[in-house]
This record gives sequence, C-alpha cells and structure tokens, in this order.
Amino acid sequence: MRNMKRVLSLLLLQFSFFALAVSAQTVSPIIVECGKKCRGEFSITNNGLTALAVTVEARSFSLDTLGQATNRPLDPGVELKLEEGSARVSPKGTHTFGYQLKCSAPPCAVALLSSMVVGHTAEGILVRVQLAHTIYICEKQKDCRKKVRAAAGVTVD
Amino acid sequence: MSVAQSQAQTTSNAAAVAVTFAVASSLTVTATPGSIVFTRTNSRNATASAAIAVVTSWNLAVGGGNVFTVAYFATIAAALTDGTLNIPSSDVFASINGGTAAACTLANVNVAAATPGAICPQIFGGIGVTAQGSHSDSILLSLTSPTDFPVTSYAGTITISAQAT
Repeated sequence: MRNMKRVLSLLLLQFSFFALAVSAQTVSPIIVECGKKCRGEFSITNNGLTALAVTVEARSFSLDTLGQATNRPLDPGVELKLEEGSARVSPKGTHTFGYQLKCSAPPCAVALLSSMVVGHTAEGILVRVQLAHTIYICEKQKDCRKKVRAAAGVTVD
Repeated sequence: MSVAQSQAQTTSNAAAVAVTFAVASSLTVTATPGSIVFTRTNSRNATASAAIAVVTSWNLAVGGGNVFTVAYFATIAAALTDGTLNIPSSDVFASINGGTAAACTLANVNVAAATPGAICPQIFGGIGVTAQGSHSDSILLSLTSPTDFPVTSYAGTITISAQAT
C-alpha cells in the first residue's frame, strides 16, 4: 500500500513537472548578412531543466511591407548544407549548428527554424517552440538586409 | 645599502591587457506550460486547462527591427487527432491576451510558419522595436465544433514561432 502511494506520488510529480515545464529557448545570433557564398553558425540555448531534442528546417521567405516574413520551401537557387539537422541539447546547455549556404540568384532570404518540444501529453496539446535564425544573402554582404527590406517596400527600419 | 640606493625608485613598463566582450544578438521565447489538456463543457465545446503564457525577449544589434511571434498547427485538417478521428484547426479558437477568440485558420500571418490556413491570431507583432526588449502575452485555446466531438482521446501540437526580420 505504501509502495503504491509512493508510485502514485511520483507519477503525480512527473505529470506536474511536464505540465508546468517551462519551454524557454534562445537563438543567437538572430540575423546575419552574407555575400553569395555564406558560411555561418547559430546557437540554440536550452534554458530549461530537461534535455531537449532540437530539429532544424530551412525556408526561403519574402517580406511584406511591415517586414513580416512569408515562408516557403527553399528556392531552387538556394543550396544549403547543414552540418546537423537535429541535436540533443542538455539542460542549460547550448548547441551550435554550422551551415554553408549558396545563393545562385541573389538576393536570397532564408530562415533556419529550430524547433523543440518540452512537454509530454497523451491527450491535449503539446507546446512546441520555434525560433528563426534569419539569413540575408546579396552580391555583397554590406547593407544586405537593408537592401532586401527596401526592395520589399519595408518602411520601418 | 647606501641611502641613495634605498630611496631609488623603480618603474616598470605599463602592461596593456586587451579586454574584449562580444555580445551576439539573441531571441528568446518562453512558453508555459509545456502542454495543456482540454475539459469538455458540453458535447461541442471544450476549454483549455490553462492559458499559455508566452514571453518574447530580444537583444538586437540595433533598434528599429521587427519581431513577430505567432502560433500555428502543422496541418489544417488535423490540429488534434487520435490517429483516425481529427479536429481541424477551424475548430480550435485562440484568445490572445483576453481578446475575442478567433479560429486558427489564418493564412496571412506567416511568420516562420509553413501552414497557411492553420495559423492562430498573431500573438505579438513588434514593428520598429527597441534594440532590447521583452513582451508578455497569453494565448487561451478552446475547441468549438459544429457537431459533437466523437468520443476518443485527441492529441496535437501547437507551435509558438518567433522571427526577427
């Protein structure tokens, strides 16, 4: 009976932990500018107390006049080499993802989206956090973001 | 030791120590809790066990950038599913910061999202933000169906997505 109570208490504790788990993650840097050939990296920090599986996917995107991104599958002229498509990040740990990007018809705008789930549930909704590492590629690196935004008609800067 | 020697001063070369401190730009999203369950209020409606508290924090290289946070489901047809029976995103409603609940069917708020038609009302749209900042929001989900929900256990995933442009 005592053992059963202990097991129930542990189950309740585990359930509470996952339900209340704080899903807090950080991406850094947020935005980079590149020339036609781009080699870079970004870091994902797990600010939580449980290890996280992180998956990375890539999207091309366009901007509207407010600077909001509309994402789509990678454009044919964009060639991406991700060193890793996924990783496990320990509690309070940081993982760095490296990549190489080529854009045959600049400018190109690419978002590398890192996603991670903290909770567990057999019923209801899990919360997944997704953070974007945004890359602007132009013929020349300097002022690339500014040029892409200006071409999209973004007036706020 | 002579008096002259004891009073002699010695000076050393000034040693220069270079100090550097690089702070990279960063974007953080905190979402609490990590999962929610729904409680049925009647055969066609259910409310979430809690609102999801979302905090978007940023440290940009310069001010004036844009930061957006949205929520979406991976598929329109099956925001929640038991593997066979589905609850579409049109049956999932989101109230942002206590506002009127609206269905997660938007197609035009596509920040970092790849599922037009399964996007909830925008959580945060920071246009021309300061270089450093933080914004707290809440998203309360509910389910409303035009027909009775078939009896089973449904599960799904909502993605809270943030991007700076």
